[in-house]
Amino acid sequence: MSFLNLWAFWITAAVVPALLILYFLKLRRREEAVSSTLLWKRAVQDLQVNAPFQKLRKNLLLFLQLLLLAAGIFALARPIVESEAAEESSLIILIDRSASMNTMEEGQTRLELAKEQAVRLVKTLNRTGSRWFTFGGAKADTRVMVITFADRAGVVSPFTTNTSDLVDLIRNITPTDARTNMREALELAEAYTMPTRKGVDNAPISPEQGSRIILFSDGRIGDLEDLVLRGGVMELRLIGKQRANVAITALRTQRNYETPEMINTFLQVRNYGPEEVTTDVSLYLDGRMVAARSITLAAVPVHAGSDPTTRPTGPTPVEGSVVSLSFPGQLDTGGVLEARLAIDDALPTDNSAQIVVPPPVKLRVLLVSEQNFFLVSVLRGLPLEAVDLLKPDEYENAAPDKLERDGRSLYDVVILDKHNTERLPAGAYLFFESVPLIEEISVGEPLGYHAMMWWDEAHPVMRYVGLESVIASSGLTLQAPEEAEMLVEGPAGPVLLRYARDGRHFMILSFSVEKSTWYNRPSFPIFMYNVVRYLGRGGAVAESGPIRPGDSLRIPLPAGESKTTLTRPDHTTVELTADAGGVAHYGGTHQVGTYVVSPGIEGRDRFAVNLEDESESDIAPRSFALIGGETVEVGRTIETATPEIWRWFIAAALLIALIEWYVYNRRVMI
Amino acid sequence: MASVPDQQHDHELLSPEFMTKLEQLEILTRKIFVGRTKGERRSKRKGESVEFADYRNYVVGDDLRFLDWNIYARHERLMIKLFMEEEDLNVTVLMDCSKSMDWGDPNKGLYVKRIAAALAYIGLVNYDRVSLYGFSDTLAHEMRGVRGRRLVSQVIKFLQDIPLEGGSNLSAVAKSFAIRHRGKGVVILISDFMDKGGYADGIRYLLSRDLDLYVIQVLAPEEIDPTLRGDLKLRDVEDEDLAEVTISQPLLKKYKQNLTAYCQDLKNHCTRRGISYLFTNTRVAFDVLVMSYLRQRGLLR
Repeated sequence: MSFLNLWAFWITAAVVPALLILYFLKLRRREEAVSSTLLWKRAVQDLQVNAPFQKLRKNLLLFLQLLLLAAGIFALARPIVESEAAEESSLIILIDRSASMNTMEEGQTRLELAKEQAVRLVKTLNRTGSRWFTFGGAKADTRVMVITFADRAGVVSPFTTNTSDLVDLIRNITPTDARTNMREALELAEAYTMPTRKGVDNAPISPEQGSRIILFSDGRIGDLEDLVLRGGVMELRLIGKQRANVAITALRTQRNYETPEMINTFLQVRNYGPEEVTTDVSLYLDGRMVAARSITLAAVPVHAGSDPTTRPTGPTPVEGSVVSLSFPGQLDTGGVLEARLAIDDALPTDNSAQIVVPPPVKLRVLLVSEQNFFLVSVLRGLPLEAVDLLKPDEYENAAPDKLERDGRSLYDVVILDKHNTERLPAGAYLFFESVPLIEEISVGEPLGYHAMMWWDEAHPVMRYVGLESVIASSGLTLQAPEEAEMLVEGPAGPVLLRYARDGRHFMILSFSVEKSTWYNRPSFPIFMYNVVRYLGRGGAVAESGPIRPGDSLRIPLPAGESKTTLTRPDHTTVELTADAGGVAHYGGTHQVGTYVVSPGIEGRDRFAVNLEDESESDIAPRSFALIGGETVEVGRTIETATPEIWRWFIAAALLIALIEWYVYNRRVMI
Repeated sequence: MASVPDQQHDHELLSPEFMTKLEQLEILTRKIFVGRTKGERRSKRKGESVEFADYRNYVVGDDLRFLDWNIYARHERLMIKLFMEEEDLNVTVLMDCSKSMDWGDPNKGLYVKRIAAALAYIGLVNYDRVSLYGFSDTLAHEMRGVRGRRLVSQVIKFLQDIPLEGGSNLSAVAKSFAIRHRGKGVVILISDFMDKGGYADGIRYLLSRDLDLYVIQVLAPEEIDPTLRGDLKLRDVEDEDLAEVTISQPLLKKYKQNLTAYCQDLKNHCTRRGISYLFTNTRVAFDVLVMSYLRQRGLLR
């Protein structure tokens, strides 16, 4: 037998002395005069002589009260009996702490339920580690390891038999709003169970040996398809039974390209519950309500007998259960837009979503060129605030206050056409057939006609840019350090390089546009648009998309700052240090909400983290089996698998109270 | 028969109506004692009354006035005529005046004094020699050798003035009584017999004087059927002894059993020694006790 609430025993320390004091402060008796106490004394003596257990009898009531107290305290301590025989020598407990585990189930979150069940399991398995309150003899220890996972897995406790440590560690698991990625957890578990050493005959020891995995989860695991259980048995303890949930599954904003102060907000709301839901959607800008709308979401019928072997991530949306909304608006500054659902459901995390809207940006671009018709005409066509032109010698001789302020370029992007320069205040630079004169970048042999071999289509600069038929008549051979990012590769190495150093962000193209076939391709203006936007916004335009819990934040810092303070949604703060490129990184985005850095670049100092995950928002617990191995589902309710016997103690206390009442009425005491 | 000690006679030991009833009664004794002076009781001694008793031979020195000359004329023998002698009777009332008697409703002390007064009245009316003793732990109050109807008021005043105080010690009292009291006669001992020292010694001392002993045990209804409830600290009114009890049904039951056994024990003790025992509850009407119970016991006629 072991106990779930050990603190209950501390009550004993307080209550027992009190009881004893009360007992010894005897009853204040009323005084009554009688003619003679002769017969009374004789009667009392007679009764006492006749009564059994005379010595005990005097303290019988105290004894009974102590017994009553003990029974009550034992009940409070929530004793559990071992119902689980642990034959294995080791056991791995996986605890899901993803967003869906925050679902409220009868006053507790699923994670709390899972932790409680895990604690019970641990207490049931190991009896030797739990010190004096362990009853029964010692038995073979089961080594237990605890891994918790959401988007990343972490070892809470390596293999140990110390139950009290395990219990503390399990109770300290904190919830996250992150997605579920169980692969890492399984890999971790396997890494610990797969033997690294070989047996005597140099054969690997079978991994089946004692690798039982117990998974506490609600089964909302996004990456189930990819999971393989290599040997061993996995027991699934399915937590929770709530299904009803309404979620904001997407929140996006888009500024009108021509008139950037016009902004459109797109919102998708989805109902996962079995009942029709009508709710209000309201939109807040920096805490101020700007729009509201009422929507009705159709019910999702319960799929009878969901097959545990089916693996899709939730039922396909039922007609009407998903509603997309669009709120047009005007916003000429930056801000945080928040969408809220006026509904109280089991998973509150996804009832609101936030997005950081950067202020409308119009970029200032400086073109340093002798003369370049193509570049000028393309730049003139872009929606920029200003395009300034300078000859290379004018650029070199310009007064510092025309080009820079506080060591930082006045222009968002400086384009240098065939002009190598050393004048590089912190800022963003695009070089055409030229290089910044810095140590790390050097130029090799010139190159003749060449085509493009490969380009990084995934990079935001190269989005919608095809270089299939682009041929350059001449170009530079670039030599760059390894950390430089190659975006386009030619026959002799990089053609387009991205390199950041000391607060300067370089984009180097090894050929000139007029010396190639690119000038008349539609991809060139697209490239110019992409690259100006990319460089002009610090190279992170594409990254300002949705940030999910667990994603890492890339935080550009103002020039000259190397440290900043990040305030998390729960108002805790973290000190961050910038790397060489003046960018700080933060990976602890486990909570949804807005993360604010200070000091930060205006408009880029706030980051909204949203759940926006269909798999997590669909909270209906789902059983599953993994490929390979053997998955056993144990227990599907939110009730415990280990029986609690506190009810017996309460019953005993009641019985003792009855006996005490009887004894009190029978008792005779002087 | 009407209940006499009602409200208006609360402090009066004997009401005039009751006295007239008492005049018809007299105290009986099962023994014949030698009295001290002439009275209305037949004596063992032959004497001067008009009632003939016996003859005996004349011896020189006998009073010639009592020779029966008719016998001498017929048989020429000198015979002396003997007559019955009538003498008085010693009636002694020993009553318990300890603190424990001042208790109960109706009050045991008053009840006892009434019995004593009634008995004294009967004795005085019949020319008996009446002695009254009130005792607690010593023989504190006494009125000895009272005779004659005219002293009734004095006796009643004496009884009224006896305070109810002190502990009870029957054996010491009986001892000193036995030493002091020379005469023989009827002794009526009235007490509650709630004596922690026991009653056996006391009774033995009294019996040693060859007295005609009557024992009347008086208890209050509260003692017979206690009405106490709850957790109590019982204080003995005599010796301040404390007993902590929690009144429960079994305890009450045991108490009553003990009381019955105690009284039965006293009764057996008395009966075995030829003592008349009477148990009474102060709730029993006093006149019923005197007119009926005491007559049944043979103390009164």
